[in-house]
Amino acid sequence: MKNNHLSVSWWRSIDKIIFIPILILLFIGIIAISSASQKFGTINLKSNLMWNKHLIFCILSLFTIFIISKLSTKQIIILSISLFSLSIILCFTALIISQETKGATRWLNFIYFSIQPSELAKPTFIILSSLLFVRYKIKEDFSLIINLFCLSLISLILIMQPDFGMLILICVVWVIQLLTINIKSKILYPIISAILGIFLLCFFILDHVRFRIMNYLFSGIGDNYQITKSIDSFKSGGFFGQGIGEGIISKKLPDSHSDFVYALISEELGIIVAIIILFLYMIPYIRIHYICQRSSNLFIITSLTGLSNIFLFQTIINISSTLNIIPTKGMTLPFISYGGSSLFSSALLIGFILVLIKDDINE
Amino acid sequence: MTEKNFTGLVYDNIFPRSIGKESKKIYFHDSNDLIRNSRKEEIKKFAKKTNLLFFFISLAFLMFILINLLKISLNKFDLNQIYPKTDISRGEILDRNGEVLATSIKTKDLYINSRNILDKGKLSMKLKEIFPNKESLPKLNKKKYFLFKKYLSIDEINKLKKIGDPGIVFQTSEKRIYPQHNIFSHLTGFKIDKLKSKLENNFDSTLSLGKDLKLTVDLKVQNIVRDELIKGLEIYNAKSALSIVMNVKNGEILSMVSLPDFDPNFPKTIQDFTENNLVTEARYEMGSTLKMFNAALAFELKSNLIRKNFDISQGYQLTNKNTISDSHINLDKINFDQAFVHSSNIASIKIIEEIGIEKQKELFKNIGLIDNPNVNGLNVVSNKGPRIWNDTYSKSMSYGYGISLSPISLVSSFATLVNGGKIVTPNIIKTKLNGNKKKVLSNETSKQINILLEKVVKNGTGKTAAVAGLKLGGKTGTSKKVENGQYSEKKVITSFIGVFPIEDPNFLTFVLFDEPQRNTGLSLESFGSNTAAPTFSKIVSKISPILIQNNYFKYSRNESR
Repeated sequence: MKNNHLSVSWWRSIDKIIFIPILILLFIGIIAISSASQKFGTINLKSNLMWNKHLIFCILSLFTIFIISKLSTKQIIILSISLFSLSIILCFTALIISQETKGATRWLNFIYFSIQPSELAKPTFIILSSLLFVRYKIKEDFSLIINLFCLSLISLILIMQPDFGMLILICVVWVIQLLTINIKSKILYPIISAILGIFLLCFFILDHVRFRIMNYLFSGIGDNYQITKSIDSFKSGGFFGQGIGEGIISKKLPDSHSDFVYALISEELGIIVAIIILFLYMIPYIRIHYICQRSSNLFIITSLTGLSNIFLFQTIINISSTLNIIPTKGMTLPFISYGGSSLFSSALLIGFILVLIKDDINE
Repeated sequence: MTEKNFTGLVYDNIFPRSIGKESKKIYFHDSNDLIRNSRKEEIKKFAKKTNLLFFFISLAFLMFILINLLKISLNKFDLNQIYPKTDISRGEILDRNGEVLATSIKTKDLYINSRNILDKGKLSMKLKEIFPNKESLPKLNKKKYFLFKKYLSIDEINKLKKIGDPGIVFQTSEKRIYPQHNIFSHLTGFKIDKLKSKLENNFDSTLSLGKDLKLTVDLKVQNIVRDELIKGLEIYNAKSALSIVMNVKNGEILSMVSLPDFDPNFPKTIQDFTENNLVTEARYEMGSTLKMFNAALAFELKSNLIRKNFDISQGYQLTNKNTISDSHINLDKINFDQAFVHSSNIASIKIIEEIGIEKQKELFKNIGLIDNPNVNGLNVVSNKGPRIWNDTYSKSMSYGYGISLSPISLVSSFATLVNGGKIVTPNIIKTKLNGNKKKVLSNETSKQINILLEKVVKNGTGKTAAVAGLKLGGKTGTSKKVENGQYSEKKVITSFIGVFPIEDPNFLTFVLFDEPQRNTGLSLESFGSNTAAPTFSKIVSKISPILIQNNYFKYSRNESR
C-alpha cells in the first residue's frame, strides 16, 4: 500500500508531456529490437537472449527515471559530479586495458556484461558544465578554467577512443551553453576558434574521419554499402511498411539494431510511423523549451538547454546519417536502439530534466 | 516584488562606500541588490533568447529530415526488381515426366577480406596448397575484398576452415547443374553467372522467379534417338546430324537432337560449331522429301495426273547448263505412284508443269514453308525461299532444291500432310493445347499421302527404313550441297522423314546427316536410303514401343486436362 502511494505521488509530481512520449518510444524500441534481434538469435522471442536483455534494460531505465526524478536539484548535482568523475576514471581504465588487449577501446568488459563509460559522462557533464557556467557568470572566477579542463579531459578520451560523433555532440552542446550565458567576446572567440582548430586537426590527422567525410562528399571512394542499403530500406517500406519482421533490406545492415534502427523501423512499420517517432522526440523538446522560457533560474535554463539539445541532436545525427544527410556516425537513437549503456544514459538525462522541471515549477 | 516592474536603475539607493586615494576608483554599495538583480535579469533574457534561437535551428533541422523522409517515400520501388529474393533458387527445367534436365544447387564461394588477415604469408602459402592452379595471390596486397574462387567443394571448405584466418569469407551462391549432361544441351542451353543461352536465356524471367519449366520432350526417347544418331554419325562419318520426334496431332516435340553437342556443365568447352541447334538454327536444301508436296497438290486438285505415265528415259533440260536425269531408276516409263516410290526428279518436274506455279505457291504458303516458323522458347532461323518465283525455281523446288528450310519448319509442314491437313505449331513447352487448327488439306488427300508413304517404305527407296511389326511410311531425301557456288558431286545431305503408325499417323521422326561419307562397300555414294533410313529404322524400332504400346498419346492428353 505504501509503495502504491509512493508511485501515485511520483506520477503526480512528474511532467507527463515529457514522460509519456518517452514511454511510447521505449515501446517502439522493444518492437523494433524484437525484429532486429532475429538476425542474432532465435525467432522464438522467449528464448531470444538479445530481446530479453533489451527488455531488462528498458525496465532498468524506467526504474532509473523513477529513482532520479524523486531527487532534488542539489542531489542531482552531487550525483552528476560523482558519476562524471567515475565515468572519467572508467574511461581511462578502458583505454589502458585496451592498449594491452588491442580490443575495442570504448567498452569496459565485465564478466557478464560490458559498459560504455563515455555514455555516462554525457548527461552528467552537461549538469556539471552548466553549474560552472552559472558560477562563472556571477563571480567571473576560475570556474571557466575548470570547465575548460573538464571539456578537454572528455575530448581527449573521445579522440583516443575514437568516438567522433560524441565528441562533436558534446562540444556543440557545450558551445551552445557558452553562448547562452553572454560572456565577453574577448574570451568567447579564442575558445570557439580553439575548438574548431581541434576539429580541423582531427580531420587531417585521423584517417578514418577523413574517409567518412570524403566518402560522404564524393561517394565513390569506398564502399557505400551501409548507406545504400539504408536508403533502400526507406524506399522499400513506403508509407505503411512491410510489416513487423518482414524487413529484408534493413536486416542486411550490420547495425540494424543500434545505429540503423530507424531504417529498420521505416521498412517494417512505414514512413508514417517514422514521422510519428520524429514528433515523439519533438514534443518533449518543445515542452522543455516552453518551461525554459518561463523559468527564472539561470542554472535551470542553462542545464535544460544543454540536456534538451543533447537529446535532440543525438536523434538528429542518428536519423540524418541513416538518410545520408550527414556522413555516417556511430550514434544510437535514444530509447529505441539496443544497448544498456545508451539506454541508461538517456534515462539519466530524462530523469535530470524531470527533476529540473519539477523544481522550477515548485519555485 | 519590485523586480517585476523594474525598468531601469534608480540611483537613490546607491551611495559611495569609500573612495580610493591613488587610483581614484569609486566603490558602490548595492544595498538592495538592484544592480545585481538587473544584471541577472539581463543575463536570463539573453539566455532565453539564445535558447529560443537554437530551438528554432533544431526545429528547422527536424523539418529538413521530415522533407527528406517524404521525398524518399514518394519514390517507392518494387522490392523484387532490385533485390531478387536470394533464398528462392532458380526454377528447374523438367521433361514431360518430371525428370530433371536442369537444376540449381547451393554452394559456397571463397572471398578474401585483406583487412582482416592475420598473417598474409601463412594464408597465401596455405591457399597455394589447397588451390595449386590459382594465381591470384598477388591481389592480397592490392585489393581489400575480392572473390578468390567460386563453387567450393566440401573438402575445400573444410580445409579452408582449418586455416582459421578471419580474412577468409564464405558466401553462399548458386550453381546450375545439368544432370543429363549432353543429352539436352541444345534445348536447355547453359547458365553460368550472367551468361546464359537458349531456354535458360529465353525463359530467364520465369526461371529466376523460382518457377519450373516443363518441356514436352521425353528423356527416354531423347536418349535413344541421341544414341542411335551418334552411331550413325560414326558409321557414315558425317559432319553433323540431327533428329526430331514430333507428335503430328498437337505439335509436341518429344525429342530434338543435334550433333555435335556439348556439356552445359562446362560451358567453357563449347566451340562455335557445337553450339548451334541444327534443328532450328540451320537450314538445308532438303531434296526429295519435298516431292510429297507435289503429290499433295495432285491429290488435292483431284488431277488426272494420278493415272498418267511419265517418260523418264530422256534427261530434262532445266537450264542451259543443267540437265536433270533419273540415273538411279532402271525404268523408261513410270506411273504416278512409282514417281514417288522411286523418287523421280523428272516426274516431279512434269507434275508441277501440269499443276502450275500459282497452285504450288499457294500450297507452300498455306502449309507454312514460306513463313518463318515460330517455336516458343527456341531461336529459329528463317526459311529462305526463291527471290523470284519463276518457272525454273518452281521446277527446282518440285524436287527439293532452290528453297532452304530449317528442319523444324519442314517437319511441321510435313505433319500437316499426314495428320488430315491441319496446321501444326511445333511446341517444346508443355502448355494447354488449343484445339482450333486451321485446315489446309482434305482428309482424303492426307489418306492418299499416307498410302503413298507406306508404298515408299514397302517397295521403294525407303525399304531400309522398315521396322518389323510396325506399319510405317516415309520418304527419303538426298541433296547436293553448294560448294563454291556450284552443286557439289561429293558433298550431300541425306535425310529420311517417316510417320507411324501409318493407318492414323501419330508420330513423325526426321533424321538428317550432313556430309556423310560412306566408306563401307564399293559405293562411295550416300543416299537417304542408305544412311538416314537405316538410322531411322533403328530409332523407331526402339522408341515406338515407348510411344505406342504405352498408349502414350492418350496418356499425355489426359494429363493435360
